[in-house]
Amino acid sequence: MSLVTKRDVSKDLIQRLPATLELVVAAMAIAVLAGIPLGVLSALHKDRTIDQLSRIFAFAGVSLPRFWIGIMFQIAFAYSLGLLPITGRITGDPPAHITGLYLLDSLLTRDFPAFMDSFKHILLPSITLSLSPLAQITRLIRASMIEQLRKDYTVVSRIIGMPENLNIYKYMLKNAFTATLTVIGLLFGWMIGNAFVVEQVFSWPGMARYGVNSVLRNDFNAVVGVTLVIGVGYVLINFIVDLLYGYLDPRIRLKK
Amino acid sequence: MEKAFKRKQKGNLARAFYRFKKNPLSLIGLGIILMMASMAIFAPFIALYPEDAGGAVHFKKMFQPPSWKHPFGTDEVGRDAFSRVIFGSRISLMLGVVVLSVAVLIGVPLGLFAGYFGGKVETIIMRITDIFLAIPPLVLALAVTAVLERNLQNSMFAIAFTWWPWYARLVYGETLSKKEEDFVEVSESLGASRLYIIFREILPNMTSPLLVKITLDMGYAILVGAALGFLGLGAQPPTAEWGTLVSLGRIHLPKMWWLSTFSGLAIFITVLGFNLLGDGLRDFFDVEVE
Amino acid sequence: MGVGNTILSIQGLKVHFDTIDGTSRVLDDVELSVREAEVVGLVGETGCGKSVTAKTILGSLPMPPGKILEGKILFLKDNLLELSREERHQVMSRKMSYIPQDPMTSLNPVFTVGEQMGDMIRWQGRRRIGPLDFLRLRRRRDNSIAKAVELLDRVDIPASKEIIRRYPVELSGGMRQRVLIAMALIGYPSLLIADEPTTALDVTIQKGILELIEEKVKEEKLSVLYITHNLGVARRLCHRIYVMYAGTIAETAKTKDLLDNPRHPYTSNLISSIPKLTGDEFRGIDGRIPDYIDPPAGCRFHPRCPRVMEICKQERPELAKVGEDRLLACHLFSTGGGS
Repeated sequence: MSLVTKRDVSKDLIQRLPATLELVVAAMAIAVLAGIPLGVLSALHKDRTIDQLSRIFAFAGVSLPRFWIGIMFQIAFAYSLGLLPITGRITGDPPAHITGLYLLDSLLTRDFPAFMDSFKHILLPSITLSLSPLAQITRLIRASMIEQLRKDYTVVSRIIGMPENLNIYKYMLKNAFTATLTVIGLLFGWMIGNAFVVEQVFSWPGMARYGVNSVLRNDFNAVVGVTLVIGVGYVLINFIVDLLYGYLDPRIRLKK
Repeated sequence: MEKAFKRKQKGNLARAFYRFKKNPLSLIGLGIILMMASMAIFAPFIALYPEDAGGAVHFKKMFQPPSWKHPFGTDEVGRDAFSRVIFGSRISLMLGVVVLSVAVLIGVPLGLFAGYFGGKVETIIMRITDIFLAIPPLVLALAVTAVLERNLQNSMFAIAFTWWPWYARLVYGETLSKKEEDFVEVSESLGASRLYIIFREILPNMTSPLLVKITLDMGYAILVGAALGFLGLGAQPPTAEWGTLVSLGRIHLPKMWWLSTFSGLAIFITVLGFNLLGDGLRDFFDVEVE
Repeated sequence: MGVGNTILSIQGLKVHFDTIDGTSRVLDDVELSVREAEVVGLVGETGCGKSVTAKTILGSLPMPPGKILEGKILFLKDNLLELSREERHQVMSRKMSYIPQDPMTSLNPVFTVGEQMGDMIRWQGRRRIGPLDFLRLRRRRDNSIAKAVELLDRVDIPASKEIIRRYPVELSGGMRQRVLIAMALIGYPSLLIADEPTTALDVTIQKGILELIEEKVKEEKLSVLYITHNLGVARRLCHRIYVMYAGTIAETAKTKDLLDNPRHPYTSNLISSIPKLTGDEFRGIDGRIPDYIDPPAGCRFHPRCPRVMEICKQERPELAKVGEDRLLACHLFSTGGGS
């Protein structure tokens, strides 16, 4: 159905989908795994050094143009220092195809050279993509935790004798996290949008890059295909987020 | 007793200004924006080689690294990168202003109508809004540019097209909460026309969140515009647009690093300025916005 | 009445609070004591400093804007104000407890009753728990839940095994308050500070809670500092009452003595302000609570006092003993001596 490659658009998409998926999931993982601790720390040490630093980092994170910082990373790490590869997904042979996600496949087939290779390749692009969501998650967790600190139940627990770190990391965090969940859903959507740019910079053979090239080549069918997939995926993610939200916050479940 | 009461009126305004000044970051943001704005306005006077912003070529001066004569170096056809970046500010800022204006002019009234009139009007408007909101902004903009000719105007149109639903939603929510308040009832009972109530009574009460959002969005709109430019979907060469400059410079990495670096830096600083200012305004108004 | 040992003794407590408008002198020379198995009421209008007193005792007053200038808080042989944070935490988390005012917001909404109580039972008193303990959270093979059920039974909650598995949102206000009382009783504290726990509840539910408290005081020799603005409740529950006004103690006596024979003009006014069903004229108290940043000179009540004298405007009346368990801070009586 594609006007340019004369192949079935859906085949093209399926071939490229795992690449984009891997990238987005990796970036989201970084954003969440780094963002939550950072946000908690900022909230606990409000207005002190860590907090100020993370605020600056947060501002930078949301203001940086993805394509530009990606290029800067390439210049710094790839070209000058030669530490990481510049583009592409893997230099050697890809691991045996189980899911199409190189990191996962190589682990499953115990193909460690392939794993290291894919890991090095995915590092820069996923970090680039994760910066803005990381900043946003940090800020959101920080704000939620600060709000939690003021809540009656936090104060009461503390007075009655709840150990402080239990109070923070179990009780307050769960509340703060549920607030962040909806944003994470939105962030997935944002990431998919910006994957277009990141894939371009790093020549990542994903669906987004395919989409951009289709637009540039006026390949309308392909464009439609890509948009549809993205739209459906986005709706799916938000649906999952809603489910998770209901699971985590009993008030939603139980209030009829 | 009265003493205490008078003292509390130490001026909410004074206190607000005090808070704003206390926040050096927002002042930095303001400074950045003013600097960028003057750069845009006075571009012909600041740029060293104004003619380079367009299609002038000086093949003899190709690919010169940054120097005193050319602070940002020269590009593949010998044009002064510094001048091009300065002129690029015009495009990006203009894009931001145009996109936001269109988005606000469409989104705000729609949100007001949906919130105030309710019923079928509300349902129709909000359904449409929901559909738009379901798709990530960049994707939608991309899809729209796909069907149109590739130039700056169309990219602005595409971005504005994706942006207005956010304003409709914000205004809708605010209207819903404001319309139950007393002052609205009073006006209604006095027989004020509905348009009057909407635009002269309800709208002024939501200027704070609107202002904060507009400021922040300026930055994001510029970012999206630059992204489109980078992908080749916006302004076309030889126009000097920041995103386009980055993409053009990319081909010549890593040797000619200056071409991509400075134009991207300009984007970064500008967006940062808007973010800092917007955040400061948010504290100033004590408002919660998305 | 319970002439037991004194458990809590506050002496000369002065607390200031820094605000944008100036320094608010919220507590000025507060004196208070509670004995074993006794219910002591702290009564006063909203804003008179009762909550601040409670928070100062509990150590939950935010200390940067707040400052303790002088005073002692003696609890079970220690001056709380002189202990290190660690020591204070040790003493207080096990021996002192708290019932909050609003049961609707005082329980964490995303965890079950059993979970919150279980954790509290397991780890009450520890400042921090180690990483190993975190792992133990998952295993639940101890008897904390059983103990929690037992506690719920002690506060007369029916179907306690069911309630353990419920979330706070599924419980009524009265039920939640009982859960909070159960949590407060973990570890058998000596002193319970109750901050207007029935204000947010219906009158019928109130009765149940008050009866519950009375029961616990008798059974477990629990002492309670009961804070309220409702004299009616205080009369019902308390052995002794402290009347607080504008950060100072105006008067204190055994409940019966105080209500039958009030001496401080403020106390008399409070008593007569209780709306009676006899149809008498309702007399409120004129004026409002003073500005804490610039309080009136002399006796803080003098601008509103119907029997004010010259000396009241200049000199602050000292809290003097005028009878058994009876203190009074008023110029009207100190000159004549107790009678």
